[in-house]
Amino acid sequence: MAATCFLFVAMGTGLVTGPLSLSPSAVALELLSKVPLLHVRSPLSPTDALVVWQLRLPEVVLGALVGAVLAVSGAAYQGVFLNPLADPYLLGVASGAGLGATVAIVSGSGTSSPFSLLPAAAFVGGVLAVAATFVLSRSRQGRSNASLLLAGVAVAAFFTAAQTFLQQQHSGLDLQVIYTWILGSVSTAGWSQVLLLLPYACLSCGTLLAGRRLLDTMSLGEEEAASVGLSVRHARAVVIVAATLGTAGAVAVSGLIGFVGIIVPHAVRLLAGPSYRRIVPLSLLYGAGFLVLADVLARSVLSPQVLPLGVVTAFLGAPFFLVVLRRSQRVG
Amino acid sequence: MLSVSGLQVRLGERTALAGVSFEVGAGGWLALIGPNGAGKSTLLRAVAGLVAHRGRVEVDGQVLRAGRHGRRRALAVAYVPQRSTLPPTMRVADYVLLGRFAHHSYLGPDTALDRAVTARLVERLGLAELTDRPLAQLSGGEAQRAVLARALAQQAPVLLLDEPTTSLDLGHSQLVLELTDELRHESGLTVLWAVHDLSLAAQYADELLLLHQGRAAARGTARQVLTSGNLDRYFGARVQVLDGASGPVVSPVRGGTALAAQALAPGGARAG
Repeated sequence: MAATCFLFVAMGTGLVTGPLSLSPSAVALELLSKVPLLHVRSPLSPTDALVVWQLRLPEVVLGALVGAVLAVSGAAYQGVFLNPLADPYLLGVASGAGLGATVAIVSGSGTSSPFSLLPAAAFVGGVLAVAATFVLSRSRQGRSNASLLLAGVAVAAFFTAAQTFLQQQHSGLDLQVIYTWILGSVSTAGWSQVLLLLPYACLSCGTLLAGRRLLDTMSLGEEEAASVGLSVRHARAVVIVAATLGTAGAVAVSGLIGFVGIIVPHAVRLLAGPSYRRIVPLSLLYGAGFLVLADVLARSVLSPQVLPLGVVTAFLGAPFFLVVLRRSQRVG
Repeated sequence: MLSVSGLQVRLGERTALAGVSFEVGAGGWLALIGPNGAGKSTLLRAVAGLVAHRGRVEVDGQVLRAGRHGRRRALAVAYVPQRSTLPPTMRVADYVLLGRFAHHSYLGPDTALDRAVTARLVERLGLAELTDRPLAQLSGGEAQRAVLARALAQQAPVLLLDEPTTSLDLGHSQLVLELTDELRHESGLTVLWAVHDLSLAAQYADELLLLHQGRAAARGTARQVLTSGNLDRYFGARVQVLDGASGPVVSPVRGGTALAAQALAPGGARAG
């Protein structure tokens, strides 16, 4: 309940914050005016309405989707790997997407708009990297968490090296484009990015929400989980596929936004206890709200300059997390 | 009813079980006894489907196949391992609920029935006051009852217990075993119990199955199986079998045992 309120307040704040000042009530009436059967009249001019519908709402929705996906995927990875430091980028999504983005920019450097290819290339790169990690981690004894993590490290190193090599070979390239993308942003004009991410976000969050009991059961270890009827290998594959599709989608449209996948699930864990039955849905709501608020700060602190979103999430998340950590230690 | 025939397990190069067959009727309690390495735990793990095996395992006429039918297997047999993994911060109520996994669809939610079954077991095993407690804060006896509750939540007709009382003191051992005994009388639960303490085995089980080097060496009531001859021959132990109030009591006797003689003889030591 509190989490839902938090998300609504965050999204509301996102809608009324910006260079063009619009009153909260006017924005609310504008939104309500589009609801059929209510017959509310909007006080906004057509231009202001356009700002709300084509700039602010898509950005807020995109931020919420990205935050939700990253937080839920992070929680799922922590459950699968029984490791509190696991984040959604653990198995190489980030470096794969980075390479994909670089390839797109390199190959599209002659054309006018490299950005059109970038999300698709980043998505494919991220998924390929995790697939490579998964395939390579299979040894004669099967596939353990340790071999998955090690394969992830190797694949990430390889893809990062390839990305650096490409950048160096194309020194005439505008590196700024790559770095802007890497630092993360949910700025968008119109709904295309949202529509791009939406199917993956729904698939990923839906699967992980429905499968949150798998994560609790996996904490019994491979053998006891099997004795209550769960194949850990199978469940691990389901979770990794779901989390990877969501994360790769998020990275493709918003770049690399760190910290959300670690900070949000842990804060939720400290507030709501260790069961994934609660952690997963709460991470979704708090992750979405957190990223929307972070984006508000990124846009408003040094306005009109926009800060990289990844910087803001770390600035905001680290102190907040330490406060929660201290409070929980005093209580416990 | 549990029916096992021709059960074979190879662990690497070693034959852990070399064709074991037996039956236990509904509501029956069979104790598996035998020296270290005789195959007691392996037999339980094979019946639970946790180790690759050959031979037939049948529960109530339904053949349990090895391989990918984990959920179906979990509905037929519940398993309490020698050492359970207890996620330290998990609450007792959530832990017991994990036993219900096989009862709903793979990604489905917990049902009202799941919660009702769990609540009843928690009450029955005297854990009602502890439902919100993290597992790490339970005593050994409480933790073992939580594990038993989780296994019973599977509502499988067969319960496999691997030395569930090893780390418990005498009082708590008796509590767990008495509870198991009541439950099997109430619900016709079939119990297969690997146990080292022969006197306890004699007290609680209907019958004993003596395993030796992966084979069934003897089967029968405690009086038939726990003879000083069998114990000397298969355990290498020198004992006196006394007549107790609730069955034979095995009491060790000091002096050179067959196993000690074997170990002390030049070149006679054998890893066991």
